[in-house]
Amino acid sequence: MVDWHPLKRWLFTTNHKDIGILYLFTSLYFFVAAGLLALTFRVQLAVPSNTFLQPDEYNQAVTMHGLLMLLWVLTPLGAAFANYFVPIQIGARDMAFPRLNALSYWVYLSSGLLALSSFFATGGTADWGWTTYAPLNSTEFSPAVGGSMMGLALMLLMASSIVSTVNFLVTIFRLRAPGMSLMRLPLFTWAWIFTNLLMLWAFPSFVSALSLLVADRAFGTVFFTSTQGGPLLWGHMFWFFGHPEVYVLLLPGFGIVGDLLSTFSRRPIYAKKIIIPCLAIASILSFTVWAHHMFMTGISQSLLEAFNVTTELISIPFAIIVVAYILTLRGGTIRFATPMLFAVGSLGLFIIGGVTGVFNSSVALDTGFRGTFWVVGHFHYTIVGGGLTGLFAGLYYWFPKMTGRMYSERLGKIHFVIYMIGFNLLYFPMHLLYDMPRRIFRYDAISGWGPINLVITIGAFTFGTSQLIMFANLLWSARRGPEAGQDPWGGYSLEWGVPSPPPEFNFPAGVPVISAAGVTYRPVAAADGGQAMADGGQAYAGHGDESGEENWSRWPIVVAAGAGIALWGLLMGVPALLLGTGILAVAFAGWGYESLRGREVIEAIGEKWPFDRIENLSLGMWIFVFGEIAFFGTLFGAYVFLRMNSPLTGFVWPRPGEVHNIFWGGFNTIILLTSGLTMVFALTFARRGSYRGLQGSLAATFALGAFFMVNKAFEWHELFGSGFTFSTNTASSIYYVLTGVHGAHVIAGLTALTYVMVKAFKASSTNQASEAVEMFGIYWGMVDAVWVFLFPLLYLL
Amino acid sequence: MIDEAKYAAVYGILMLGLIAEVLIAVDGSALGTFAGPAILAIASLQAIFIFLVYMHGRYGPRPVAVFAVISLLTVLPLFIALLYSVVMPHHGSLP
Repeated sequence: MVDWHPLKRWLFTTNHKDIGILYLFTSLYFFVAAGLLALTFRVQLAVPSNTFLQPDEYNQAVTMHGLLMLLWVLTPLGAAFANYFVPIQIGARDMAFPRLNALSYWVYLSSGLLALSSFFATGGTADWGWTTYAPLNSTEFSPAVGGSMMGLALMLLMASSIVSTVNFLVTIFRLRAPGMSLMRLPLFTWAWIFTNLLMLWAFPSFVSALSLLVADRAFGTVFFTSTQGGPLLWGHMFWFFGHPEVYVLLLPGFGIVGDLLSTFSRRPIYAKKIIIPCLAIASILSFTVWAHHMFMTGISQSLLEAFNVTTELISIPFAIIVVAYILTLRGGTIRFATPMLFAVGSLGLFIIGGVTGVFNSSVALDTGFRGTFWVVGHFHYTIVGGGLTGLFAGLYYWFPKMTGRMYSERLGKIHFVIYMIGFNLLYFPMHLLYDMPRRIFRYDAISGWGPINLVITIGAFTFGTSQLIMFANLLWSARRGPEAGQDPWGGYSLEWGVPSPPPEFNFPAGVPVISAAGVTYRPVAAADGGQAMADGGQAYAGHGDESGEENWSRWPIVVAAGAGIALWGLLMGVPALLLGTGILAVAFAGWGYESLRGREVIEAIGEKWPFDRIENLSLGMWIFVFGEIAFFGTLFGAYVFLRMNSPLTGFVWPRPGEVHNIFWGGFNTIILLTSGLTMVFALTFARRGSYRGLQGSLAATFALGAFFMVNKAFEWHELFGSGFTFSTNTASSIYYVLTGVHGAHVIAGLTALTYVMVKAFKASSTNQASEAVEMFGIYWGMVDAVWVFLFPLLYLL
Repeated sequence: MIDEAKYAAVYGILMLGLIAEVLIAVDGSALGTFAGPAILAIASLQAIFIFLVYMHGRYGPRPVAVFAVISLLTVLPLFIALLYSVVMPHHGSLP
């Protein structure tokens, strides 16, 4: 008899530690895949006039390597540690929304598989480089369907990240243990807060850019192929995401390094109260530096100067943090265990990457360096040196906690030495190739670049081989290593106060209560001032179902599978599209059948500032709405750019009433705003206990929303009939995309409203339904608020 | 009933805003070049009313509003750069 229990655990788990391990294995899998691709194209570049790869193969390998490493390896590797340790470090028993946490992981995996499967599509995968520059990203230059598949995979990944962001921010802001003030959080958790804020506001902008790109490729819109939009529009939209993304990659490792330097030198972190504001300032500034990637695009001189200044400014907070880290070591009793070696190594490599970055902030120097291997060397020192090396420090640091066993210190140190030799052999010589274009697949011997490229390739293989030592060490040690005990490092954060590995609900001794004197554990009733938790606090104290089976949910994996298959089918054929959509429908219905809160009975009993007066679900919905602001804000930005650029390119934007019927649009606006009114009435009735009022208001909201969509469909039909199609001009393209994505939000809202109505009609009291109504009300208000801008922009101006 | 009256009043304001927008668009000659900004200002006010009364006023405390403002500010530099990219003269590619 086969025991399926372990398999079912990994498929259906919602426990944050299990999901952390799933993230860890999956991101390391993609790391190996992306690394092998890097070795492949390094072989091609090793010697002059090489024919190992054809140009198209080379371009695909480089593109896939970049995208996988940045988005499917580094960010999720940080998420692996965050999933496992942030809830423990803040004193919570799990994430605020465990099922959503599982959904984030499975959608991440689904998106990665979709990206990899694009390799096997006819014509191969995307070959436009990880920056996806226009017009290379157009069907004219990249006709392969794999490119579009990569675009959809990226959108799916962004969705997973945004859901994860909402979850983490609610968890950290609402579920901290008593006494765990924000200033007492470890640096890693602080770094993760800022990472999530960056993801919340930067990733939706990338979804906006991808929406326009997919529309161009799939529906023939003309955003990046027209003179009004073109490469400059893509550059702005992409780098507005792309530069904050650099800090998304960097900050988790940076936070880990800070905590490790403190632990392994037996000293408190120097100037922690300054480091945290510096992280905040760097995060804010990261949204103001993106155009330094566009110095050579011909943007105006005043912009060049502005971005030159902001780019130099952002080096200041990082310089302060680096100095604080170094001063943390002063006077300490330093132990150079493997995690500490990687932490110190990370800091050193990041300094080199940071210094070369300041060179690039200069417009004059950037003019020479742009598009050369100097830049490749710089960003690998920053991202791999500062980011990945810091994450590897964390892997060694937390390995004993996750497995309960120690790794081989000897092999760890050997790994470090070969890693550092390989890394510097690989990336430092790239700075000497400041005259070699980075986007060529072959060069002649006369260029003189051959010897340095050979050294780089030897470095790449050395660097790659060093990882095999780590994998062998950790895999062997996970089963055979000596027992680690609870706290092998003398760590100060909460995870070192629980067994290794931690039990299902983390804190067997009760709720951790943090004070200046240290950590004590109290029964729940005492910790929350006598207020019983929904489950009586038993699970928090470790007396619940230790298998966690009662909290399994099968729907997250099914939703992710359905989404992946549907998107694959969107490009590959109707049967797969229908299958995926069907799976999604079943999954959503099944999920809807579960309780709205499910395991989300995890409520705050400790520190909640500054969100003391708002419930977890409400805060989660609000944070999602903030992400939507960035999404629609970027699309509005694209509209403004196209509109302002029109007169300069000789395109006459249609006058009000010339194409669109103002009164038709106005009528639709009345319908949508009226649905907003019936929605707030529904909540009022729910709170007042009026069944009839609640049901009537919800039904009216649904009817009005559906009528809005029907009206919109007729309007589209009419416009298409008059020759105003997706590809007519930029005015038509932006009209269809803006109303299309808004319409998609309305349809998603109507789907959610169906769920709310079922809940409302089945609820034994209106109070039971009011929470679902409230959540939906926030969303529907956002849909209304977006439309009040769309109507004037598209119909009146 | 106070809540319903408040919501209905806001609905009335939204409708008045809509009428004003359409009237300006159809014949905004009196406002000249301010017609466009006036329409956008009305739209912004409508969104603020929806946020404050239909969404925020009912559901959330002050930190949520602060968070919302930060979200809006986040995309502000992008708007400025996009505008400057087209408004300021293009210098062409540097050598």
